[in-house]
Amino acid sequence: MNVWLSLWRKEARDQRMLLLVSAALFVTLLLGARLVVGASFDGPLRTGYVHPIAWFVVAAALAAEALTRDAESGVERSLTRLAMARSTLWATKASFVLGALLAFGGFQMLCERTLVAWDPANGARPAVALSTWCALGALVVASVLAAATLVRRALAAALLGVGAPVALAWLVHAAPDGVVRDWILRGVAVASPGGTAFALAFALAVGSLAGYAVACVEPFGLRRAAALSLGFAIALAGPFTWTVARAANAIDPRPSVHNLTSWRALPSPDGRFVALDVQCTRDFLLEWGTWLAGDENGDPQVVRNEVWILDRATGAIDELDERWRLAWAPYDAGGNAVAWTADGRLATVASERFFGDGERRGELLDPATGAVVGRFDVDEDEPVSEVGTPPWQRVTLRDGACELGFADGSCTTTLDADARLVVSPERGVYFVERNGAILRAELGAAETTRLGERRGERSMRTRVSPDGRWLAWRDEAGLSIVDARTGAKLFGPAPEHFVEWSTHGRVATLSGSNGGFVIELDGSRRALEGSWPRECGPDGWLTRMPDRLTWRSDDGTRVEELPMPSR
Amino acid sequence: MTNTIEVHGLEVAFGRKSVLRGLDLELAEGSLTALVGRNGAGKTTLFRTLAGELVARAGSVRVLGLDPRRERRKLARAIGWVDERAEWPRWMRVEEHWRFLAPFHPTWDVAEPVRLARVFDVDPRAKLVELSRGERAVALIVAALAHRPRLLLLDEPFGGLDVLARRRVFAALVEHLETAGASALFATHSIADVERAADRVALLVDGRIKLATDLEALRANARRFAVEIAGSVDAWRPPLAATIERRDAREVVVCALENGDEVERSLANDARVMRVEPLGRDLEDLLAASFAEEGSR
Repeated sequence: MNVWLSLWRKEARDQRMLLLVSAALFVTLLLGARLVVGASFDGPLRTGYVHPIAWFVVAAALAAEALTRDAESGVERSLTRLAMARSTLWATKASFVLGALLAFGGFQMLCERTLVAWDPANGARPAVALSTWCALGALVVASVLAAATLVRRALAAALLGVGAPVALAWLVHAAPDGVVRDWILRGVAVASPGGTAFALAFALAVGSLAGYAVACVEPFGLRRAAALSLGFAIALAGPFTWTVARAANAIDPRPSVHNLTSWRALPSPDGRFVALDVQCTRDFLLEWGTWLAGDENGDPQVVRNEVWILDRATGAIDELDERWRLAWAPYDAGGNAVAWTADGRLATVASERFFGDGERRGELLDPATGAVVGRFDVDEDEPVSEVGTPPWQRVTLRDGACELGFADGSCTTTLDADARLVVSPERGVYFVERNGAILRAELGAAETTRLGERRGERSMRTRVSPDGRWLAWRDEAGLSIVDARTGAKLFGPAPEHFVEWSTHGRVATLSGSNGGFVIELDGSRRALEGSWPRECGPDGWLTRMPDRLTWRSDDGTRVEELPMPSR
Repeated sequence: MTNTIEVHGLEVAFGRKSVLRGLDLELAEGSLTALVGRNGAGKTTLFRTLAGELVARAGSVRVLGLDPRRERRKLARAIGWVDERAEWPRWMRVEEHWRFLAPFHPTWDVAEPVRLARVFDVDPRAKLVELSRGERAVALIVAALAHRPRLLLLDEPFGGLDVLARRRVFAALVEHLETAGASALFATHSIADVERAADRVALLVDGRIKLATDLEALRANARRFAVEIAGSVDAWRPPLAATIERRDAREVVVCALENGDEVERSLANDARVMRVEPLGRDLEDLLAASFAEEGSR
């Protein structure tokens, strides 16, 4: 122990000036920025960016100095001649660096508290979790330690050790969308044991290649190359091992009782299939070790969409496709991903890109085989069900406007993005909103038929029934359902919260206070038991609870427990 | 009596360059041996190998009964290795140097370096980097003696010492060897140092120990002769184990480090030798002769 103390004292003396100057510069930076920038230099800015960046710079400098100072000055030779293992020398250096960084972090917290006490209005919790900074800090330190053993020059080591993670972060977040970025993101933010293995293998492969290149150039570089590879592996292995452990417990698609909208169950028009649109939320930063802006509460979340198909005839349930579909999108960009067409095809929005960026395409799938049988354009802001998917039409979204035409490209008409286009399954018929009026129109015809009017600022969730006979919308007055040809009122307006056409033509609504009910096509209303979310099929309806899915016959006499997605 | 150092057939190379080529050396316990050799002969390489810093390509090395490579840490506690080229942090003062080294040696005597510093006029408060070459060497020797090592390895530390400092250092070395029963191997270019302190001398030539003998025996048995040769001097070879220092037009200077009397008798019986004249056999002359390029060994 005395040997360790002796070595720590030496390291402390070596790094004393660096630490003192760093602390002084940091205080100067905080005070100077506060005086010059004023109130804009607030807590979130400081804790989100200034503190972490300063910590990283100090970490890089300390680590590089600890490893290269003695080598450059020749002191290392004298140290290695002493009665101790070489591993002791490196261990004391590494432990000193970590201890100094902890102390510097504490000093930063002290400065922050002082500033907040001085100006409480500017105090705020950090935008990024502390654990994330620790993980990223470990990455920086490990990378610099490995780089320093390689280049043995402090400045070059610091640049390499900090530059490599920064470059990687830039590639991940700022590089143009493309396959390379997508694969890097997949490697960094894994979601399965396979992905974790990929990430580790990728890290070791990069390290090994670098090591091999170094070995070719420098005859005695094998140890340093191994250190570089090991540094990368250590830096990446920790969070990915954690990821494997968490992934091994299976991503549970069933939401907590506090989030009932995290999955939807949609029966096919013939009632045989049930499409399950599952959204899993995860605390992205803790799981995947990447940076994301959080929501207004500072809690970062990511939503992953999965699409499962349940065959009621056979009881089989499979994930529709293993490709990433709207996968890992930031929380505020998630949305509905599936809808049934009237002819029994499943419409989904697919993206091969991580985070759902880049080209997204609508696909029509055969539910029995999962094969893609058609495609359509997708508006990023519109859920699939609102775009509509009748096979006669083709909708093209371009430059903020919308072009509607027949599938063969004929008879195209251009509509504003605010037109709230809804396409009828009836060939050539579509519905738009114009100057507060809800209109029926036909391709190639100049005349329109007024079906109703919007009350309030805008209509919401305008839907046409699968047979094209009825149009439903909800505005500030509530839910209205009219004849899609004449505008004759079938129902409403009534203060209901949710409207969706069942895939076979009936409407079910959910009201949190009055329970659920079905509106039949004759305008009558029938109550459904309970107030949990449900979807109507041709011979019954689905009731989904947080942890189970149940099919009930129309008369309520038959109840079927359906299998749930699992891994 | 056991040997402090036992080296047999030692070969050490750096890449393709062979530095030590089958070196044999034995250092008896209590001996103060001077290692003499030309620049680049391999003295520092030998020290580094003895201390376990270098790996031998061939041969065996035992120091204090230990394998220097496998038991390096144990050996480091028992030896004092002084290398004037050793670097220490620029902020480190002499007394801070002692405090830093003390935990590495269980036998460290806290009072000893203070005492020696007074003897050698070393200021403990001075920074190592601010000392003169000689003062720095003395400071390193003080640190090496402070833990009472059983073996001292001194790699040319005396170059910057003045006469008085040399006397004091050697007196301290001899005292330490006598009181602790320790041994010392020191490399030097100074014949005066060899004559002043060493009881044995080892000559390192071309990566081998050419001669390792008691100093008294060297003085008693070594001879130098100027030999006048009849006929061509280029083809003449001296008898037995003798070294040709130089060849002139008709004369050859011969040096015999061992068996000088026998060599003289042999020269007298050589038909081509017309005259044999004894030359001075100062230690410096003898050692310089041993480094000559020609030899009959």
